[in-house]
Parts: sequence; structure tokens; C-alpha cells
Amino acid sequence: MKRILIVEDEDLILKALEFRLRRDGYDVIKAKDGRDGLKAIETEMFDLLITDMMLPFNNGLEVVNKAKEMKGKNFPVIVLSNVGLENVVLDAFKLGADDYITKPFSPVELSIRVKRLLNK
Amino acid sequence: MESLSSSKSDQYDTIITFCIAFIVCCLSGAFITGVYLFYIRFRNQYYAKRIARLEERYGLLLTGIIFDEEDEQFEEKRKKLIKHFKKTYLRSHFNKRVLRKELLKLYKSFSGSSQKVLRDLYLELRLHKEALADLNSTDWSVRADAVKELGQIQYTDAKLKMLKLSSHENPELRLEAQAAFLALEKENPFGFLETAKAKITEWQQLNLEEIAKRIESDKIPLFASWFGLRNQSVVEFCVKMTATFNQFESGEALIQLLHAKDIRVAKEAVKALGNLFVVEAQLPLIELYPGSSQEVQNEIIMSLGKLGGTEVLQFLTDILYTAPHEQAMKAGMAIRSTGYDGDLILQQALQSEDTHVVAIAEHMLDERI
Repeated sequence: MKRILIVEDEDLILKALEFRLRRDGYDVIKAKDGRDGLKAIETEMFDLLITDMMLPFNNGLEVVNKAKEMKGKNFPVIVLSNVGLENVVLDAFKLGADDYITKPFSPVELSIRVKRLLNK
Repeated sequence: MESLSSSKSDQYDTIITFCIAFIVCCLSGAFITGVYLFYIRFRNQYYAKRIARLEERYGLLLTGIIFDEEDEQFEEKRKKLIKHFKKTYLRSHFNKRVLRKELLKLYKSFSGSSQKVLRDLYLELRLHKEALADLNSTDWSVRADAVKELGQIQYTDAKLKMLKLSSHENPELRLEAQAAFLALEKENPFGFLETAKAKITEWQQLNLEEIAKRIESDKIPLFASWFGLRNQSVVEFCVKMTATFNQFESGEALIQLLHAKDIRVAKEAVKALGNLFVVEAQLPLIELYPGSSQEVQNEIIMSLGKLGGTEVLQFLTDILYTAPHEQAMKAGMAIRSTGYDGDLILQQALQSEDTHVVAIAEHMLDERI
């Protein structure tokens, strides 16, 4: 079973994403802030990272950076954000994010994107 | 002697009684304060725990319902869930308030069918009735929250209430109502501008602009039609929107506003003429310059830089050589922004005997800037 790490500070969104991805047949690891996210990247084994951009302690970009450093350049990462500003999106892609989804987003669409990245 | 000592003893007794009374009062006060603080703390903890418990339950139920949509028995499950919700969790206003908050959190984060499911659930549980009741609260912040909620959930039946509140004396409530009206009124979303009596502050204008950018382009009105309104802050906002939505056909109306009594309106009109490249405004702007305030003069220089043209360059060159430092700097910048012809003028300025002009020209031609 594929494992997905979700780093999201909003409890309700975290739960909703967990629910959806578990239904799709994935195992889910959760982290509620940037610091826990970085710790999880160091200690846990997982196949894909979904991270929010605005996080307490360490922001989403730091989380993406760490994941790419630890797991390699081809490791799949999806960034979620409330911010759709061009420079923020570009920063995420420069660090190696494979996908950038702006909130509000469709859970079905996220599910398809996850599947696509994991099948690559 | 005896009577003297007896009177002294009486005095001591009075002082001691007074001191004891004072100490008792202080101790009672401290005790009552302590009990009150303990009560407040206990009450807050109790509510925080209750909210956390409810959030946990609602979270599970809501996430369940939005993701069960693909299930074949979705409708049946949904009906059961709604019945369960009504029976178990929605007995008090407190519970309903927590549910509204949780439902909106999800509603704001998700789009597509999940968002629709949440909206239907909101209406079916009649949570909009709670929000509508909150509109009559005496606390303006409760009213503002309800206004925001009804706008976000797209409860269009509330748009007349929003229109009424868009002229409310409280600026925060007013802004929320205007934003909600923009979101709810599909045919004439900016209709509230016609009746707006209070000033729309710069902060409110920024917020409204952000919301306006999300409106379908065919619903964006011609803002110049409100240039004649009495409320000058509305006119100022409409001028800004004219430039934001590139309403080039309003060039003539903007030129008329150059002589507006309100300096902010005139300044915004100058700025808009530059941003919309209304070349017909070159002469009116040059004519306006001498009698304007420094603030407007600076805007005129920058707008002329965007418009360009022979007469404009001559005018800007005069300012570069004769005006005080701030305007001369702006003129240098404007000349540079006109392109090749402007660069030639600045290179000629390098030969000037006036060291001040040379310094500005060198600064403007510096490739590092």
C-alpha cells in the first residue's frame, strides 16, 4: 500500500484529506505543522508528499526543500495553498514541486493528481 | 486624667475598628475577585472543551458526507445523516454555531461537487435561519460574521438585507455587507454604489477591488456612469475600477474629472489617464499642472511619461531643468520611461552646466537602476 504524508495545519482539512485518501486505498501519515512535517520526512517512509504552503514554524517551501533533499529530486510533491500569486507558485515549482493546487480545490481532482503522480 | 486616657482609648478603638473593617473589606474583595476569575477560567475551559468535542464530531460527519457522494446509496445515507444531525446535535444555538463554523471552513477549502454538497447540507439543516437571526444581533461583529457567512454560502435571498446593511454606520459591517452584495447580486453587483452614503475608505476599496476581480467580466459595469455621484469616495473607487478593468471608452469622462474639487478624485483620474494611455489627455494634463498641488503634479508627471509625445517631452524637459528636486526627479523618471527619445534628452542633459540636472540625468541613465 502506498503511503502519503500530509502536512496541513487546518485540522478539518487534514481530516478530510485523510478520509478521502484512505478511501482511495492509501495509507496516510499526518503532520500538523512545518516542524512535525520536517521530522516526519526524516523518520518516516512514504511515497508522496502533500503540503500546505502556510504552516506554523516552518513554511511549505522548507518542507518541499527538505523532502527533495532527503528523498531525491524525482520524489513527488503536491503543494496546496490559499495563495495563487505567480511568484509564490514559481517558487514552489523552482524547489521541485510537481503540482500546485490553489484552495478552494476539488477533492476528486486532488485524488486524480495523486494517482497520476504515483503511477509515474 | 482619667477622662483624658479614656478618650484616647476610645480613639484607638475607633482606629482599630476601622483597620479591621478595611482588612475585612480587602480580604472579601480579593476573595470575590478570586472566585470570579476562577469561574471565568472554568467557564472558558468548559466551553473550549465543548467546542473541541463538537468540532471533532462535526468534522467526522461532514468529511463523511462530502466524500460519500460517489457512493450509490449516497442519497439514503445523506437523509439518515441529516435526521441524525437534527435529532442529536442541533438542539442548541451553541451547537449550531459550532457546526456553521466547521461547515464554512470546509466550504471555503473545497470546490466543485463537494462544495455543492456542503451548501445543500447547510440549507437543509436550516443553518441560514440562524445566520439571518444573527443579522438582528446588537453586537455588530456577530452581524458582520453572519453577513460574511451568507455571502460565502451564496444565499441570494439575503441580498436585499445586504444592500440595506451596505450603508450601515459601522465601517466593518458596511464592508462585509458590500462584499456580500457583490457576491450575491448577479445582475448589478455594484448597485450598492448608487446608494452608498458613507465614505468608502482606502482599505475598503482594496477589498472591494479584490472581490470585483473575481466577478464574471460581462457583469462588470461601466464605472464612468457613477462619476457624477455626490459621494466622492465612490467616485474615487469608480475611477480606480475604470483603470483596473481597462475601460478605455471612459477616457473623455476621466478628462472631465481632472477638475474635480476632491483632490483624491483628481489624482486618481490623472493616474487612470496614464494607465489607460489616453493620448487625448496630454494637453489637458499639461494645462492642469501649474495650478495643482504637489501631490497631483507628481502624478501628472508620471502619467505624461506613460503617454509620451513631442509636446509632452518638451514639457517634461522644462520641469527637469527648472522645477524643485522632487518634481525634477519624477520628470527624469518620466522622460526615461518614454524610450529612445527620452534617452536622447537625458544624454543631452549630461552636458548641462547645472550640476543638479547632470546628477539626475546620470542617475536615470544608470543601467544598474
